[in-house]
Amino acid sequence: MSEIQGPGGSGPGDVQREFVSEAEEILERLGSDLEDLADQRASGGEPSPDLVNRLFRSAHTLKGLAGSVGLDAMGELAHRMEDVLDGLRLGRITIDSPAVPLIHEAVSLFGTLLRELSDATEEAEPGAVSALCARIRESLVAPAAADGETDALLRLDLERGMLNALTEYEEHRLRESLRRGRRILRVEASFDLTDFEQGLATLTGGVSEVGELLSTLPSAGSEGSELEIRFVLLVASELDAPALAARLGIEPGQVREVSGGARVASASAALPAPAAPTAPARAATPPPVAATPPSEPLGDAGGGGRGAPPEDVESLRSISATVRVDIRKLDELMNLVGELAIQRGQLAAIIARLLAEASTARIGSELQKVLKRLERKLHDLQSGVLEVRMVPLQQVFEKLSRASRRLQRDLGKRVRLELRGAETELDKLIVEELIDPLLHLVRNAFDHAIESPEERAAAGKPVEGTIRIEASQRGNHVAIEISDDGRGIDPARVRARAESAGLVAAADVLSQREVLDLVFAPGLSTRTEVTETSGRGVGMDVVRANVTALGGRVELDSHLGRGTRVTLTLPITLAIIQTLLVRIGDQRFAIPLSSVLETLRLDGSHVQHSQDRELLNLRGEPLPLKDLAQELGLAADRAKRAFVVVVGLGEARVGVLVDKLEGQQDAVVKPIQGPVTHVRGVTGATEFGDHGAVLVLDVTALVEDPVRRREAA
Amino acid sequence: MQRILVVEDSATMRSYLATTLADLDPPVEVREAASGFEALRLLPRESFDLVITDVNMPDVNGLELVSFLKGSEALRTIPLIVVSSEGSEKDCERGLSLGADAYLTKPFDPEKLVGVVRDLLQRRRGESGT
Repeated sequence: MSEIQGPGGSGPGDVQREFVSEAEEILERLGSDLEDLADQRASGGEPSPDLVNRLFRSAHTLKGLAGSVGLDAMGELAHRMEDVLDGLRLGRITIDSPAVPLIHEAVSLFGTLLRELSDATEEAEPGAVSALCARIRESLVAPAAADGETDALLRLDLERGMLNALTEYEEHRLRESLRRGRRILRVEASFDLTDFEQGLATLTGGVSEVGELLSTLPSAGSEGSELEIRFVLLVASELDAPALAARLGIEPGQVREVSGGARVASASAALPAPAAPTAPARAATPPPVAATPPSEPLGDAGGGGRGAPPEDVESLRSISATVRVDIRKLDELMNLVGELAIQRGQLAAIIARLLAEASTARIGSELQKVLKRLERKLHDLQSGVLEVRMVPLQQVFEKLSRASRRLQRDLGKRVRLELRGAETELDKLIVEELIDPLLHLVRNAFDHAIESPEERAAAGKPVEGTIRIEASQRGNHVAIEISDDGRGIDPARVRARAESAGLVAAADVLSQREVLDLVFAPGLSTRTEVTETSGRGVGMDVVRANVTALGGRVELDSHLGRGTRVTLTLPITLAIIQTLLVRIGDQRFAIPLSSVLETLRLDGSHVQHSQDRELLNLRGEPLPLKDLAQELGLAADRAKRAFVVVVGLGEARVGVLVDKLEGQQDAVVKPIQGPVTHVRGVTGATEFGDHGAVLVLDVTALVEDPVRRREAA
Repeated sequence: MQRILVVEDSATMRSYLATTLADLDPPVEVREAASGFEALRLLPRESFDLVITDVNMPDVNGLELVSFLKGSEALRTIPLIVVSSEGSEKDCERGLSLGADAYLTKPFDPEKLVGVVRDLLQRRRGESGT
């Protein structure tokens, strides 16, 4: 949130700028909360009241903001969103109401308006706004709210002041809880004024595990003590008073059930449940643009009628210019591009034959010109399809910051999450696969790395810990660094555990880096206790496996007492790669060009032998060499290795010995089919017009450290 | 100088309120709280002549804050303005019944805000004799 200046410090222009940035923030939150709502709906559950209320509050704030800055169309639009969400949170409409999908449209239209505003142009055509607003109004044919339950509230054994301080929404939740036959409990607790937030958070956290927090009413401490603050919480739960007190770890006297008579009376007079799960069979998440009419009418609440009339479909088209596409369709397109590339290769081979014959050379050279143009277009097509697959890391980052907020709440640690490079783009599939490993790393940092506030203070560190996630593009790769300023990893402990797990022998000499690398070994956890947050066992080995499966690499750097940094290096896309074609013996291999650092002519005098490894002295740095012919068991004459291809991923480097370099080729990598599904060192196969099938080398496996090999053996 | 506490979780609204209140004559000091919790921490420690609070806030809402102030021996005389958006008038009226002195719905006319604030501050000066 932006810094606010004191009175007189900000002019009208500042207010508008502030509006844009805050509105953007709120829209972002709305967007991700709506996704959560769709998830909850898809999984068949009722939407969580907290989520719906948060959505309502976002729309509500947006409305107030737009109104205050004088942006009436935006205010109107936010107002309509608010209407829908208010109806939803107060139980006037159900999640299946036809009004609910319209919120998505409203959010996207609001975003459009906002962007136009920040580009300093005038407000957008009011036509789009009023059309959408009208549709929302129509879809909200409000059924009369059943409000004959005031008596039930009066029958609560509760001071009137408490009831009066309830907002309309809180009152609704209270009624709803009574209707469901839950107990209403009054929980009282006093805290020191200096740190009441922490104590209260522990208490409300406990409450949310066993029920719903309806209201938090503060009052001055007993006997007017100025250093104390008292809270009365109103809680709905299945538990009775003694059970709740036990569960929250507080004195039985602090909890009192207040719903004695009210609960029975209200529950017996219960209305038929409004959100009966007779909803249309999993009416998938609402698409932002209704390209085809839904196969079933959406919902039945309010009798909003069947699909929108044709004029509305027209006006809809003018609003949004984006389409959601199934990623598999993009895969198909990519495959087609790949096949075209193969045809191109075959064509090139034929042209080469034509050029070789004097009688057909002319026609061959004409064809070659056409082929060149075709190649250019093919290349454009390929990069176009690739571009469509790219999405910014933004979405992942949003998930991480949500997780971080939850963790802060649950663990009582103070941590600042810094996110940088959210605009960095990656293939959609890779982004999806990254979510779990990143969540895992963030949880790890929270749980193990960042110390308790007391420990941090004692170590002379700021009480608030920092976890920073920074993404950046590096050539054809994206690097994502997750660093923290926590306690760091103790190499001695890692080593001790690895020894007791039999991963290394006591006599083995390992560098600091190799020791740290053991953290990735399966089953090695330096923590003996199990925590709810990061669990145990499912650890860094899974992170490494996931990232490696994407053709990426994980590196770890840690300083005891100062913090840990984990770097993920990932290819930008998996769909198509540029490769360097090499020959080893009688076999051809393709090496992803993105990992090729350089190629050298092999000079035997620079090769040294160390233990069982061959090292090349590359400008003073030792570079481990690999003879694939030997490793893969190919019949080949060692003397023919004339070149070294230096490949690198992250910080690791290795030199691959090859006989011949045969040029660059684009490759659509396909997994190997048939009886052999996994070959170590090979990611898949590709086809080149005139070369037939060629194996693509797995760079991650090539650069893997020898330590890993031992443990695999 | 009289002091006003503005409790509002939206930065834009806080800044808007502060800008508007800067027009007051005699000038006032504006203190901002970004949440109900922050207000609860500030209120017993610093002295204020007026509290302006939003109703819809995540931790402790405006009505609960009103109830807190009115329930406290030391703070119950501080004048209170409850602010909410159009459509939440019911909540604002509850605020009044809990003892708030005025309510305003967003978006509001800056002059109206300044007018209400000026009146309440004047009354406060009369009472405390400052």
